[in-house]
Amino acid sequence: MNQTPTDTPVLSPMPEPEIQRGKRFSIVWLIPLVAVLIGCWLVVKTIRETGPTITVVFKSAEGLVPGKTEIKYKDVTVGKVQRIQLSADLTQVYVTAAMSREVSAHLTQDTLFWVVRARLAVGEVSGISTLLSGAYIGMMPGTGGKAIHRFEGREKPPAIFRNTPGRQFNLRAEQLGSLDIGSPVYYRQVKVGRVINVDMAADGTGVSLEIFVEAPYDKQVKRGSRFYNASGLNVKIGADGVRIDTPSLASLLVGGISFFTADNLKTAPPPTANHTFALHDNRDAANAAIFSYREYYLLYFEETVRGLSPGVPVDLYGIKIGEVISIRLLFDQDKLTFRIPVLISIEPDRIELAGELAMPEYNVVEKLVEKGLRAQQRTGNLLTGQCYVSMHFQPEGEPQAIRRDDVYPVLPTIPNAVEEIVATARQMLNRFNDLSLEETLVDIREAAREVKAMTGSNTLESAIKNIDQSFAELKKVTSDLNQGTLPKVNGMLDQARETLARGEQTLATANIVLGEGAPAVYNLNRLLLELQEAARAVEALADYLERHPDSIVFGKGDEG
Amino acid sequence: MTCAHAARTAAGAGLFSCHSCSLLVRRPSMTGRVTVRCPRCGARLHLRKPNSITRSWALLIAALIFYIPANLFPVTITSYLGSIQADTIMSGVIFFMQTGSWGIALIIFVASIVVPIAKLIVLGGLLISVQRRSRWRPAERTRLYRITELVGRWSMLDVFVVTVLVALVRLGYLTTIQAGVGVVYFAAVVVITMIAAMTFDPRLIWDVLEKNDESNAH
Repeated sequence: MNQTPTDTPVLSPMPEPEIQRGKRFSIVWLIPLVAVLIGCWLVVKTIRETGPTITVVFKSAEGLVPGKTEIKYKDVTVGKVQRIQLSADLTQVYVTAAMSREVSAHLTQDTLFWVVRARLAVGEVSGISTLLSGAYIGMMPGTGGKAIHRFEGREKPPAIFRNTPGRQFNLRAEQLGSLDIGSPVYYRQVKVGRVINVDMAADGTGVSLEIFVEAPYDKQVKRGSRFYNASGLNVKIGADGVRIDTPSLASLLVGGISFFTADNLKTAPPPTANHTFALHDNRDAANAAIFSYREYYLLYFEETVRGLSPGVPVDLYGIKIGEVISIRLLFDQDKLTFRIPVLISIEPDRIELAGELAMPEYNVVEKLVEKGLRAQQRTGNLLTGQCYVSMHFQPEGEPQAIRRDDVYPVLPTIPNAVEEIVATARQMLNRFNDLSLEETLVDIREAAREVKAMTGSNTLESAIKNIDQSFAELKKVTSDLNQGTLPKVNGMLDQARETLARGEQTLATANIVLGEGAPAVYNLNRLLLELQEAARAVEALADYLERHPDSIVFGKGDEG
Repeated sequence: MTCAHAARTAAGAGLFSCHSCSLLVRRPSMTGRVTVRCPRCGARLHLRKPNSITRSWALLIAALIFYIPANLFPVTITSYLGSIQADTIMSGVIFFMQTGSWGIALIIFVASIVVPIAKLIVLGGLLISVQRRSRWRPAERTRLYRITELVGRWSMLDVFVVTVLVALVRLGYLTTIQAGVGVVYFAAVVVITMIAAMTFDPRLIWDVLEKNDESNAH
């Protein structure tokens, strides 16, 4: 070994010093310590952020990608789809998703999940962003309750988010029409809400709808508010003419619901939670239904009811108090007669009351019938032949009582006004026929003879001769009248009657017709003119008759 | 053979070899907490890298810890036409494999998965072997160390790719790539393993043989 000779003598005798390595904590261990701390923090953070794993059942997994599709609430990602499986019977799809922790408390029974895809509907375009990004699952957090891990997915998004301020109302309709989930709800043509659910009523007799009216408009819904279907075009031809209702163009296409509150119900309290409103077919129906209490009565007509149809008004003193519900034809097999039972509904609330009620309510109608309340069919619109049912008082008629032996109480009726005129005219003519003119003349002649016997003068004789002659002429005229004019009048009347009948009884009572001045009045006017002429002829005859007896009795003979 | 060579080291000759300028400096007899500097370049002189094993271990453990989040967290968050996809290193590799880019998949797989794991294992093995005073194939172990040190930096490739992508792919709504948290941990793993490799003193592999030689010589 070639070691330096200087070092060896110095170092070799010296003992090796014990070198104490500083056992102090090396600063380098801070690095793994920091790593451990970061690691721990990550673990804790991950555990804290990891929420429950849930399964949502969908009908189809269209557009869903495991590991990619997100679950969003208010466009914030709250979970991610992990796995998509088919159910054992291949009818459903189980979508397993990991949810973030912050929503875990809201995964309750009423939490909703739906797949958001691009939706294009008239009046609504949504989810356009999904066209490019692919579908995602929308979530509406539950309001509380027991947390669950299995949900039924919906096919469509809910129309209204749960935390939107506003109120939900229940409606019931005869049929759905063009309404659907998402259809708008209008108040004074302002869009205030949406249809959020549509379902068949449990008993299948109607459709139940849930609508949501946003605050502050929900306060406009009062207990007496009326909802009606504002969809489509509503053309109505009725007793009051032609009417066309057109709502906004959007609701014309997609349908919608409108509601209004009658002025006298503006201060009514808000409806109770489980109140169900009726959804009427149109605004008129809704208007009519303001009076929800109805009484039903049967009317039996024994004449044509052409022009009468369900929905035509029943009026009292010209004011609508109800409407016709149904018309049937009844054949009595025993008597071989036809009768027409007409069911009407009366809304007593339409009539304002004054005074104290002195008798039980159910007796009021009976008393009124005793006072002469009768139902009668009348023509309301001369052009269309629409009829209506008029209730009015006719105290002079034979007293009748309300009958309660049928399904509904039966109100007495009186025949149609046109039939009445015809009957009256015939009675008048019969009376003319019965006028005993000949007897009168014989009486007059006898009287003249007595006068002649009394006076015995020639002048008188010649006068009497003249009278005889006159009487002969008169007789001729009378017979002419009897054989010619009166039958003609009769014929004319019959003809007029036929015209009237052919005009579908569009002619109302003379009063109404004259008052209305409608074109068809012309026919009636003609009838009246002809009647007038006939009357004038009778008058001339009466004049003649009148003058000659005078000359006989008072000696003003020869100027016959 | 080895015995003869073993003695010819600076340490064996009682000298310091300056790490910076390789000047041989005589080792002073003073011990304890003193700082010995190179008279030529002023660098600190020490026989072996100070606390080499401890430091290497500490850094290795830190790298090992960071390696877990580096692989679990996404390194890239790609939003393509509104759909957001987060990729970890492994899912990226799988993605490239599935799309047929086998070459890219292989490069990323080697650079980001094989190399870091290999580094961690090699460094750990070397440290254990040194601590256990193993005499097993010191030359191969030293070569292994050299390869480790050489290859380690290439793991930064993935980090650079992510950085470049984030900087370049900014097409607004169409496509955007964002760096995920994972890349930070991954970079930490690469950097820390590199430092760990640097703090490891490969001469420690040979020290055992040398000491044995000395004991044999006496």
